[in-house]
Amino acid sequence: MKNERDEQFHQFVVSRRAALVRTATLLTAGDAHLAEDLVQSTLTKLYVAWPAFQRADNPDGYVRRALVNALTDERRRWWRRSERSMAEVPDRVAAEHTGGDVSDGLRAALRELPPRMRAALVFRYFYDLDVADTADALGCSEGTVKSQTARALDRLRTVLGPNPSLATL
Amino acid sequence: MMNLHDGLARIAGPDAEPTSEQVAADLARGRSALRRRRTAQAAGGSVFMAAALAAVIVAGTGLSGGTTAPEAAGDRPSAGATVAGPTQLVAYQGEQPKGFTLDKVPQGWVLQGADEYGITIAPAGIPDVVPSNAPPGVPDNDPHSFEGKIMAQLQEFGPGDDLVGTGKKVTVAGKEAVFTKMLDQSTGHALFVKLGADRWMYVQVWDGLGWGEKQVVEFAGGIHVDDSAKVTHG
Repeated sequence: MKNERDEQFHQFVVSRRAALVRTATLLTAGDAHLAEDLVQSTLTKLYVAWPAFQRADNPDGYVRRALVNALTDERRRWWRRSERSMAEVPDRVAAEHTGGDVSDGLRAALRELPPRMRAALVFRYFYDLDVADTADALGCSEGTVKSQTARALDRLRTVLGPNPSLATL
Repeated sequence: MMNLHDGLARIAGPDAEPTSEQVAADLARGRSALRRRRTAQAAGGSVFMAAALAAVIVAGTGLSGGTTAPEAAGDRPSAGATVAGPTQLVAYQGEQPKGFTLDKVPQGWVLQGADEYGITIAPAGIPDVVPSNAPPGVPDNDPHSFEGKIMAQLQEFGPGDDLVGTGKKVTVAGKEAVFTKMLDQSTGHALFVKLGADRWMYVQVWDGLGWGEKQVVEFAGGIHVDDSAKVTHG
C-alpha cells in the first residue's frame, strides 16, 4: 500500500538517483562502492524526513547537505576501518601524467583531499555553485568555502602540475 | 591538457538511470528506517525494545490492512489534535482478529490491521492519501505505522531497567504491568503487561486520546491474547 510520501519519493528516486550517484562518486573521489552507500544513506534519510524535505525552501540545497552529512559519516567509518586519518593535507610532489588516463591523476589528487575540501571543490567547480550555496551545502561560512577551495586548487596544482584550466580558477 | 570540469565529469561517470529494483530497494530502506524510528520512539528508547519492535515489522509482513470493521458510531477524534477530554471506550463490535480478542475500542476508532503478532487500532475515516507534509502524529493507512494510533503486540521483552525505574507498577486484569509515558510524546503512553515468562503484551497509545492511566489500563484489560498469537523476538 503506497501513500503520497511513497509516490513522491519514488518519483524523486527515478528522476534524481543517477545525478546523486554522480555527485556521490565525485565526493568519494571515484569510490563507486562508497558512493552507492552514500546515496542509499542519503535517500533513506530523505525518506524519513520527507515532510521536512518537502517544506524546504531550497530542496536542492537540502539534498546537498544530506549528501555531505552522509559523506562525513561514511568517511569516518572508512577511516576507522583503515586506521587512517587525514588531519592535514599531505605534501606531494607533482606527478607525471603525460601518459595514461589523465583523470586517474585527478582522481588520486581528489583522494588526497579531506572530504569537505573535496566537496567544496566539486560544488564550486563542477556544479558551478556560488560561494553562498556551497557554504550552505557544507554547513560552514563563505570564508571557509573560499579558503577550502583555494587550498584544494593549490593541492591539485601541486599534484597535477601546470594546467591551464586550474590557472584560470 | 586536462580541463578540470571534464576530468571531474569522467570521474563522476555516466548518467545511468536507476533500475526498478534499485528504486524499490531505496523505497524499502526508507520505509524500514521510518518504521524503526517510529517504533524506537514508541519503545522509550530501549535498545531491546527497539530491536523487538523492529522484529515485528520484519516478521509481520503479512499484517493485513483493511480489516476494519464497524463499531460504535461516533465522531472520529483527530489523533493529532488536542481533545477536550478522554476519548470514551465503547464495545468493540467488529470481527475479532486472530490471536487477540478486543473488548473495547476508543469511540470512533477501528481495528486497522492485525496479524498473529499484534494489532493496530486507528481513527475511522482516514483518507486514502495522507498529505506527505502532514504534521507528526497524523495517522495514515499503513497498519505498520503507529503514529496517531494504538498498537498492541505480544513480545519477548518487558520494560528495560530504565523504564522499570521510572514507570509505575499497575495491575491490568489481575496481571502485573508497568505503565509509562512514551518517549517524545506529550500525552502518549506505553504499557507492558506480563503474561508469562518472556511473554509480554505491549500496548502503545499515541498522543491525542486524552487518556491517562485509568483509560489505558481499562483498554488493555480488554485485550485478550490467546495461544495462537506469536511472540516477537529481538
